[in-house]
Amino acid sequence: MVGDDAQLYTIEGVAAGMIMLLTAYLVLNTTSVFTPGDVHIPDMQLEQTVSDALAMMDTPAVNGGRSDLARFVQNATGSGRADFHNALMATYLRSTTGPPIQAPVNDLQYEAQIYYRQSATGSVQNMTFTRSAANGGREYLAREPAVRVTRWVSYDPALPHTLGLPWDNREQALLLEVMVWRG
Amino acid sequence: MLSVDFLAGFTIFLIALIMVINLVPGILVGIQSQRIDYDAVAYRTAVILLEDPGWGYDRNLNTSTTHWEQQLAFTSDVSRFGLAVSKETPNILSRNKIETFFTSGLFTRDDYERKAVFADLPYAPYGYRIALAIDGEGTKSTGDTVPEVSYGYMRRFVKVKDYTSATLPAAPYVASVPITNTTGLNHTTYLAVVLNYTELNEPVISDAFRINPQSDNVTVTLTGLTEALQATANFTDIQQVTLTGVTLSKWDLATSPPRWVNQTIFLRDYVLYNQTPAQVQDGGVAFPVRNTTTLGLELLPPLPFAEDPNAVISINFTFRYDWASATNAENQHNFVFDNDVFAYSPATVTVPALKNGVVEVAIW
Repeated sequence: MVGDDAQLYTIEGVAAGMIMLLTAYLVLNTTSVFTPGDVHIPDMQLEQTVSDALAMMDTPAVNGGRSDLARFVQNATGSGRADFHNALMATYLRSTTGPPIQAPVNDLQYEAQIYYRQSATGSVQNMTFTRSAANGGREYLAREPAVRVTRWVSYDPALPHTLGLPWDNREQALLLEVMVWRG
Repeated sequence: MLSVDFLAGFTIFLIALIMVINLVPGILVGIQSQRIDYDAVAYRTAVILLEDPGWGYDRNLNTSTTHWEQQLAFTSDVSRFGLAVSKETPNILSRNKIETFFTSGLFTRDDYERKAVFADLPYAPYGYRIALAIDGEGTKSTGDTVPEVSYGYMRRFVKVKDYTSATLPAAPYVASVPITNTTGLNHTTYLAVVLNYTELNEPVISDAFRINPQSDNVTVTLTGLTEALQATANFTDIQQVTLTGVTLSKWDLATSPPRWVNQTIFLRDYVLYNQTPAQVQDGGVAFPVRNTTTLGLELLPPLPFAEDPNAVISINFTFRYDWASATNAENQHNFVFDNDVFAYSPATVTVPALKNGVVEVAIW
C-alpha cells in the first residue's frame, strides 16, 4: 500500500539540496584573508641597510680615487679582511643617529664571500672573505633568517694587491656576497 | 519513534548551521591594518629624502627646479623635499639642502608632513622623526618625540658633499714697482678669481665631486696680507691699503676681440668679511686692509650667470695702495697682487672628501 518509491524522490531532493549547500559553502569559504608577511619587512629593512653600507663603502671619497671596498678586495688575503670587518661593523652597521630613534644594532652578524669565475674552466668558485665570528662575533644560531646582499666589485691586478689571491690575474668583476643576520 | 525524514532534515539543518557559524570569524577580522604601513612609509620617506634632489619653483626664472633650498622667499614653493645632490647620485647629500631641511622654524610641521612624509592628511596624520648624524658632527633631527614602542623604522647610510674653498696666501704675490719720475704716490691693482663654467660643468666629473655653479658655495680666502707686506722692507712707507671694492666681470665673446665686461648687477648673495667671519663688509664700499691678515669672500649659490653653462666670470678684488713718500731706501714701492689671476677649478682649490653619515626615519 504505501510504497517506498516516493522516498526515492525525497532522497533525490535531499541529495540535490546537499549539493547546493555544499557548493554555496565552497564558494563562500574561498574568500581568504590576506595576512601580510610581517617577517619580510624587517628583512627588507636590513637588506636595504646592508646594501647602502656596501654602496657607500664602494664610493670614493675624492674624485678619481679608488673606493674603500675595491681596496679591501685587492687585499682580500691580507689586511683587507680586518679592514672590511671594521668598515662594515664599526663605520656602518653599528652606527646610528643616537637616541631617541636608536634601534638595536649590536646583534648583527655577517659572513662575506667572494665569487669569481675561473676563465680556464669557466666554473664559478668562491672564497670566504671574512666573517664576524672570526672577529669576535657569534656563529650562525638561526634565530632569524639571514638576508643576502651582493655587490659587484672590480679587481685590477695592476694596482697594489696581496699575494695568494685565488682568482685569475686579470682585470675582472668579482661578486661580493654578504649574509647578515641577527644573532 | 523519529522518522527518517525528520532525521534527514535535522541533519541538513545542523550541517548548514555549522557551515554558517564557521564563516563568522571572517566577519570579525579587520582587513585594514595600519601597523605594517609605518615601515613602508618610513622606507618611502627615506627614499624620497636620500635618493631624490627635491623639487621646487624658482620665481626668478619662472621654472621648476631641483634647487628648492634656494627658493625660500615662499616656503610654499617647495613641492617636495630631497637632500640628494642630484638624481644621478643617490645617497650623496648636499650640504645646503641638509642645513635648510633641518633649520628649525623655517618649515612648519604641515610642510614636513606633506612634502617629505606624504601623509594622507587629514585622514592619516603620521607622527615622524627624521634624524641625520654626520661623522664628526652632531645629530640633526626634526619631528616629534619617538614613542617607546610600535613605530615604523628605516636606517640608511649616506655621504655628505661639502663645498670647495680656495685659500690664497699673499706672500707669493708680493710685487714691486720701481720709483720713477712718473710714479705717483698711489697704485691700484687687483686680484681676479676666474670661474670658467665650461670647465666646472665638465660632465666627466660626477655630480658628487663637481663644482656646480648653480648649487655650490664658492669660498676664497686671502691670508697673510699684512704679514706679507710687513716682510718687505718698506711697510712703514705704506700709508694705507684700501680694498676699494669687490666687482664682477664677465668674459664677453660677442665683442671682437673678446674682453672682460664689468657687470653692474653684482653678486646676488655673498659674504665678504674682514679678519673674522663676524666682521661682514659690503663689497661696494671701500675699507682699509693695511692691517688685515685675512680677507674672505663666500659666494652663495646660484653663482652669477650660473644659468649660462659656458659663462666665464671673474671676481675682482681691487686694492689701492697709498704711499707716504716718493722716495725710500730700496727705491721701489712694494705691494701685494699685481693684477694676478687665480683660476678657480678642482685642480687648484681644496676639494673636501665626502663625509660619512647615517639617517634614521621613524614613523608612527
